[in-house]
Amino acid sequence: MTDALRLRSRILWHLAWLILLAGLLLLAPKLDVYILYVLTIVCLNVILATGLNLVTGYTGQISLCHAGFLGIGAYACPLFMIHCHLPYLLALLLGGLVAGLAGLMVGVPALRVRGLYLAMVTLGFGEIVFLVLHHWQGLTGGPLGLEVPAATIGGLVIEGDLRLFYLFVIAAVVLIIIARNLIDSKIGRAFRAISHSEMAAQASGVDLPTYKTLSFALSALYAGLAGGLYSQLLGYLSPDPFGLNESILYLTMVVVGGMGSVAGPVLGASLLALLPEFLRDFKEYQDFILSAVLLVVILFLPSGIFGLGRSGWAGLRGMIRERGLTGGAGG
Amino acid sequence: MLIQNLIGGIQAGSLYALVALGLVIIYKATEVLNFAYGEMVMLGAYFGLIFCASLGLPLPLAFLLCLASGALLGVVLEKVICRPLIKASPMTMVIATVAMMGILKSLVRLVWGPGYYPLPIFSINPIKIFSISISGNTLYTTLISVMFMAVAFAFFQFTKLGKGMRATSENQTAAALMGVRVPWIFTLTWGLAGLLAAVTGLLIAPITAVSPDMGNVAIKGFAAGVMGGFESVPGAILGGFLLGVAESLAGSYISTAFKDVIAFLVLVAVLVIKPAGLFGVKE
Repeated sequence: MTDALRLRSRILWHLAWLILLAGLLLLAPKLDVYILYVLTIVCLNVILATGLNLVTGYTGQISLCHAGFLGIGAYACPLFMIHCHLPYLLALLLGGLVAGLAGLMVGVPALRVRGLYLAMVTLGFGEIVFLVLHHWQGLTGGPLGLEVPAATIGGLVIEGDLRLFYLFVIAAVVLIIIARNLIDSKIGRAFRAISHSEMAAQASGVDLPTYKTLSFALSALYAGLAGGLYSQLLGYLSPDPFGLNESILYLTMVVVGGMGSVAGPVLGASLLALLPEFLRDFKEYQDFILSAVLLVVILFLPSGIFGLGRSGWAGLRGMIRERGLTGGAGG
Repeated sequence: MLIQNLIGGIQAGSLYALVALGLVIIYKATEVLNFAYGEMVMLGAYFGLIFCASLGLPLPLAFLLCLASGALLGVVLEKVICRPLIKASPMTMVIATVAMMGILKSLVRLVWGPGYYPLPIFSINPIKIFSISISGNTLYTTLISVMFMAVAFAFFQFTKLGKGMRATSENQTAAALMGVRVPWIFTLTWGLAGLLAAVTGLLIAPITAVSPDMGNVAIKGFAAGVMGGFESVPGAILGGFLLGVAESLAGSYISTAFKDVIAFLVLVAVLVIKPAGLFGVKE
């Protein structure tokens, strides 16, 4: 009975995602250019938040440097294209790997420090990345910027808002599915065990150093891939979108959406990308409202918006089950 | 040249030390890493703007009013973010202070706009000792911050309340059993930190002018605190001075670009090599 219910809710859930996705893809050619741009940004944020959720939501390690990983990917991808003449997809993957390596570098000190000190290590690393992007003008162009060459995938030039949007959507869907499967695998279970209790995880045979660094590296890989995509959207890179404020924004997305679930960060990322659009008439109040929303969520909804929805759903399901049981007893 | 650099480093260092001190006393008492502290410093400078520039009060009175407002702000923040989340995870707490940081910064931007306001509250002529000239600003900043550090240190060391605060940071339960009113100590600590933040803001204002981005100094304070090992008040102060001097020397002998990076390099290096800080005790 409960298994059947669970299966049914799961199928419904997948169906909802599919309909949403199909609707987006079919509607895209008819959409306004600006709306398309906003939806592309939503996809970018979704990829980043999904990656950040791996390390923050599942493994329970704070990161204040994800904009730094995003920046590494965003610069590495066009630099591979310019200096090594690599095709876009290969450069994108390599850029992601470079960011993943950087994540590994952050993951190693994370083995020795936790809580407050981990927040500081990641903050320090993020600032170093930002300053290097700023000052290594020979490579990155510094504040003057770096022109990103147009991408081609199999002879198809990725230009125009529509093609870019499709590229972002496909990437987001693929990466969410990978993250979802990863979480249900042995690796994902190890991540969750670490966040519940490091000691208990270790006692159950989870190799702490391996899995902690792995979660940082995977998370940074996601951010790096997002960066490679982002560079195409921006067309012209400067270090500004890769600072501490952006790192905080990405963390906000995960927390507001709900940590430790697949849908939570997707929800949070979409919400925080769309909210400024709804608040366009109150532009000067935007930052204030965003911060206030974050504080309210932290104070009153500790498991995020998705957590609220989930507990509401669980309550509803419990009620249905109870009714069913009493009904069965009566008959 | 070297001595001039050292003096510049000590001036910056005294400010970093003051920021680190405020961060560390909050962390020691309530285990909150307060990302909104920089914004508390920034608001201190805006309080100065209100009381000195707008209302035109005499300097000593304005100074005292600024300190009182800073302390009040600290108490309010404790009630709003620290008290309701007392049992939450450290990550939740960090994000709550980050949210508060955004709120304070955007509020200031709404009221005063993004512009820079000068606040020349201390203006005395430079002093020349042998061939070294020290600007009045440097002298004032360093002296006042050292004075406040000394007062804070004496307060922790010798007064009953200060001892209660130290007892609370050692062990909350034991302190409560000895008759220390722990919630009151929390409020008091945040108030004290708010007061120190206001002083810091007033001291930085004449150097950088008052703007919503002044809060960025908190990152340097974090680095200084980590160097000293976030658990120790003397360590944090020493860390602040070390960082100031290191920055000043790196800025003039290596490159100015390196000046900003050094704080974070030191931060990461210290945490990797000696996570409990240079003067911290490992638990």
